[in-house]
Amino acid sequence: MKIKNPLLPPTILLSLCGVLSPLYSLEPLRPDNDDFNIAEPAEDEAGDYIWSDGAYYMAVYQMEKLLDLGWLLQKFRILPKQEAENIDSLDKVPDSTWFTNRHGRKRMNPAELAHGPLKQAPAPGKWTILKGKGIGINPGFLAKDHAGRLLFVKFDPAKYPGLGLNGDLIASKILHAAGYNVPEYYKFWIDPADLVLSPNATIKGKYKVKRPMTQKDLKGIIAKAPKDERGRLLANVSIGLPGKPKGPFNYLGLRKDDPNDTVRHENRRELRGLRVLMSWLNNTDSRRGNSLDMYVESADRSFLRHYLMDFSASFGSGNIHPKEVEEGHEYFFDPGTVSRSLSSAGLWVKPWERPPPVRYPEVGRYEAESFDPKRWRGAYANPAFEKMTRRDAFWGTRIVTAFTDEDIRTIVATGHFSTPGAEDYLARTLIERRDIIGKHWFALKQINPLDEFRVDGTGAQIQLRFRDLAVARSYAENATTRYQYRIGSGKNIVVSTPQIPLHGTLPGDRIRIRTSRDSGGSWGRPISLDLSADGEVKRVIRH
Amino acid sequence: MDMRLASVLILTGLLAAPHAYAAEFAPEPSGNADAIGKKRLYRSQTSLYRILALPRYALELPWYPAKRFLDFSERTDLFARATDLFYFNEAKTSGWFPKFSSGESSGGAGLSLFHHDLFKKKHQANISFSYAAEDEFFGRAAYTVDPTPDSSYYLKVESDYIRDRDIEIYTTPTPSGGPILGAKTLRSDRRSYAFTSLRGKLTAGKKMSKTVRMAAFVRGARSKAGHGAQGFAPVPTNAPGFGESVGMAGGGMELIWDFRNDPVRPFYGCLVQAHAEALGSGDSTAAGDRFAYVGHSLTAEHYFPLYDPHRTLVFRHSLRRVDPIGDKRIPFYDLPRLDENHLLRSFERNRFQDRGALSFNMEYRYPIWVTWDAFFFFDGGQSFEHYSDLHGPDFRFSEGLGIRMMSKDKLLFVTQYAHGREGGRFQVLLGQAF
Repeated sequence: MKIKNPLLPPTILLSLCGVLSPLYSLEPLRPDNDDFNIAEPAEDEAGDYIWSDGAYYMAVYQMEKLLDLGWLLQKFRILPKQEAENIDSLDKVPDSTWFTNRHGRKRMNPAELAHGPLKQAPAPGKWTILKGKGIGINPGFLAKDHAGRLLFVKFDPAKYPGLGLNGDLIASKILHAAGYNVPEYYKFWIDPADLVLSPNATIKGKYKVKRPMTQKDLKGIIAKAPKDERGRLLANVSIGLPGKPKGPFNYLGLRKDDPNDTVRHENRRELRGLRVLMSWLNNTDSRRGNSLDMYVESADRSFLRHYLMDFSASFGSGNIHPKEVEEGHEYFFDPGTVSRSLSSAGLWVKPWERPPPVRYPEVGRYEAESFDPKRWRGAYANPAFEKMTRRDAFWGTRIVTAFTDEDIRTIVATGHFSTPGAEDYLARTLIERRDIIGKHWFALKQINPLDEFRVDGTGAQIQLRFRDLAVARSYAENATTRYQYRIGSGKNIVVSTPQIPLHGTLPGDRIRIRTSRDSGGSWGRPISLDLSADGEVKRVIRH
Repeated sequence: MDMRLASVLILTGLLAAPHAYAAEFAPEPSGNADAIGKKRLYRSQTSLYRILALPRYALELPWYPAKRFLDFSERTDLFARATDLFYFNEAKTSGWFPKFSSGESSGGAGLSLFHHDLFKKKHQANISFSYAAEDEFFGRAAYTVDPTPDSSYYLKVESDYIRDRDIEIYTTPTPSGGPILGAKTLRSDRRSYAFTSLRGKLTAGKKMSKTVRMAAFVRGARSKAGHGAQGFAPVPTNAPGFGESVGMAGGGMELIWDFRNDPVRPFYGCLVQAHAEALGSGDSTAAGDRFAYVGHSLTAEHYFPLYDPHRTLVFRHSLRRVDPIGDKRIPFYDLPRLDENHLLRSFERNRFQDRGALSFNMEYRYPIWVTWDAFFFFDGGQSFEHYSDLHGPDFRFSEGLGIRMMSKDKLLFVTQYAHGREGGRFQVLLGQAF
């Protein structure tokens, strides 16, 4: 078909852009209403299968994207990037069954950070083993303490005690402070004499066939576990989550049997922005199998709560050994990297090809030297991570950089380190990676990192105050920073402090601010604000 | 399409945007959420993107059965069940594997039986055979005792049986009746012969140090070459060893000096292999021929890291040579070869054969994935009768590129494309190549 009117293609695009303009759907920070009473969903076991999950996201999904016209049009910048949907008018994520704003909104004190999601430690004494661990690569079992709570027990390899345990202990607390739902993880020394095998205990044996678990199986598990000089086993214990497990959530699409689930998961900001947090923690195993939906039942309502779990592949841990050099930089099989290496005839030396040696086995291969927040990769593609936009990244970076050096050291101190210097090394590396993330995603070429807008004063003294997160977190120089603002159709005015006089502003006037880091030599991306009639900031639009 | 339609679309776009903003403060019920009274808080952007994404669902259809199969495989441990079929014991030290091969005119299949821990002393035994159409049969049996921490001695006993009714050879008779082999032959000089051979070799050696091995060996063979069956011209009947059953026996020494950093994926170091042997037949054949020759070979591989430790330049030099003892002769099928299997990669199997074969290879290897390397190569070589025959115009060259795929402890396969004056050849090599 020949298009006679040359104006037609741009016209269609304009029309689409009208529909696709950034949307801000809520009033500021109103909790989501995704906890309505629902019928009990069936348990979804699809996420238990890592082969098909990996094959789909590494190969099939990548090919499908080439057939996705929306993806192609976004890739070639003909359509705007599809922004996250569950955001409020201040471009933030309301509390929901997925996420609860914590440290990023209101600072947690050191005790709260160190405590994290913990409620009650496993009861010491006899534990009854109900089931041998059938999936995953660490040996372990499911047990019940004398208080009747379910305990998921797993062990690091004897050669690397603490490697995976530290990931679970520390990353779970950081992610909890960030706002995610996570299980309680405990470091626990178990006396093997306290382990009692239930007569009904089962284990998946050869060919994954379920059979009765025997003392020999238990001895086999104990033999591989790290031990202290008294023969006690260093265990990683997580407490069973409240509710009924209904299987993992997918990072793509919706859960069809959950009517509360109305935002496609790849378009949820807390899942997209999770990429920034996982890049910080170097958790390369953020996949469907490491999540869980729990059906929470109470007197007035029952609904699904969504958890992230199993962080043992965080930092430098590859679960049973330190990470390989490419982990965190490439997918397990990464056609893009392979093609680039192939076509460069070896001239492209990947920055991670020459890593520093593993200094502390308890930390594994975790460093900041080759860390690139933009191209960080997990084990295989995560659709929510792939769809992360600059606004999503800003949201995640805002949370990451909310952790001060002291916050990080407080949380890291709750890990298990037997080698002097290991704890300090992990904390320092987290601090360095946090700063690399902050400098990258708060850069003006990415976004205007202004936040925490509020209107102060009255009458002629009324002002809009805000916080420049790059300056506040020391990623930019205050002395050379300037802010250029325009109210409504007025003139551009430059100020050097993060405050704008509002006297004379009319209701409905939009305020547009741009930032410069070189005393006004060049200006970054703008940010726009709308004020309500009563003088509150009702909308923030990041361009 | 006219301006009116364009205007309508523009207006639609302009009208849609404010509507989108207005909609945000007027929550509307939606879909299944409506059934439980949940009010929708967000305005979904996905409708248009989902329509644009519809073509991608074309791949969901073929993916669905693959997914079901993968899930079934994982649930039932199908892969472990399948691989266990090839092992005779739990420790997986003994078992069998099928073998398959494909050639230009025929394919073959066979079987390999192995035990890698005989007497619980890591002694290895392998028996394999393959049978192809066109009446080709190859059988091999080997027993190997590798050096251990307790003993630096090693032993290897090998035996091969070959029966092939069409082996290519490139030769043309001289006016005096003798065959011309080697660099002067043309591609059109292709002939074939039938060949049957039973060979045995016993090697006993010692690991002298971490990098040096030295061994002595005795070997013997009974071979017979006759008329081929494929329709090519026959090998001249006066070629030494043709039409006779020839028994040869002898022995020699070999030395291996290996100080590469890794035998599977070397980045630096050197490998030198030298071998010398003498063989002879006890009696004259029916045609009155007596056979005896000495042979020697020297191969050196040098690995040099370039601007990065994992970018490697490899040089390989190889000289193989046989010389008759006194007035004795050399069976034509024992002459060194230069071809696609002997690192002149763009030339057909057995393309050049003569008393000597000299080759030079250069490869540039670089990593493209965890255990994959890509490489560019350049080969040069000449087969010759006398050293004085070695000169530029008779050298043949190949150039090409390929990919080496390895596991952590062995080379799995190499796929490569080579080009030379006689055309291009694509090869997939299983566990071979240097």
